[in-house]
Amino acid sequence: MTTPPTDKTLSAFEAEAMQWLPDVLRFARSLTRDQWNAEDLVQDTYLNALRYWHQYDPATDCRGWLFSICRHRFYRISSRAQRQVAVEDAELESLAAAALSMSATPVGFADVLVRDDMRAAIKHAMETLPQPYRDVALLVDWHDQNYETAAQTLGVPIGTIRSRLFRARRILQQRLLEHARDAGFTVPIPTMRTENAPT
Amino acid sequence: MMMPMMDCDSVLRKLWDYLDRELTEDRMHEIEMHLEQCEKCRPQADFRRAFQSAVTGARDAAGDTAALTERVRRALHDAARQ
Repeated sequence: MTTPPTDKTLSAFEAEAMQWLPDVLRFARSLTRDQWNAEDLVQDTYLNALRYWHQYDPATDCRGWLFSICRHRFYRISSRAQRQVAVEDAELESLAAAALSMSATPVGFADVLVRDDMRAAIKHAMETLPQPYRDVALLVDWHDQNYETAAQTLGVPIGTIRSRLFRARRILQQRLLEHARDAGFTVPIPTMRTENAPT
Repeated sequence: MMMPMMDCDSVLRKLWDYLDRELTEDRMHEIEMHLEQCEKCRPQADFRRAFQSAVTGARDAAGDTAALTERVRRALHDAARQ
């Protein structure tokens, strides 16, 4: 759309889209890891959303649509190429997740995870996940999107969402186990069942 | 007729989907029943719940967005006038 939006379009856009600004800001901040850059990204997102408002389907999730634009703009602005994931299999990731949590469960790792001083470690682990896994984990675990909406936001099949999400959580668990051990908690590092885990 | 109880492997494979509430109502119920009775799977579900809770608890709140909202509104109106 090259013509400026009418007042009516702008009003409709503001009524629907502006309510999600705090969520879009949180999402932008989790991508940029910087408040100022996040605010610039939010403004850029909304300007682009207004530009393409005629393409928005009111039957869909406006928040997810805004996330999708935000993510697209972030990678476009930062010129970060999306890395392809070598193998994506939700079933294998489910098995691997089960193997890891089985080894973590008996030693009270859950008690360590909920400690206040683990919060920064969890945040750091989440923000430094490899990009394809981070995108999904952010949407589902930090921004409450269901698998279907996350799939629409990222433009990938639901099976890909599942496999990336389960892998993300497995990586997070592994990193947090290592962090807990380094911090002096007596939790053993489990052996990953690599025969079931895609590389 | 009673449905056969799901086996542990099937439950563990569907455990994230269950915790994310991504399954059908029937399947959710089946897994719930299994977890109530299975000493092997229940600790895993408890662990993953704790893990999820810790992860979601680590996210930041948006904070005060009034100034940004105003800034974005101004930018939108400027764009509409051009």
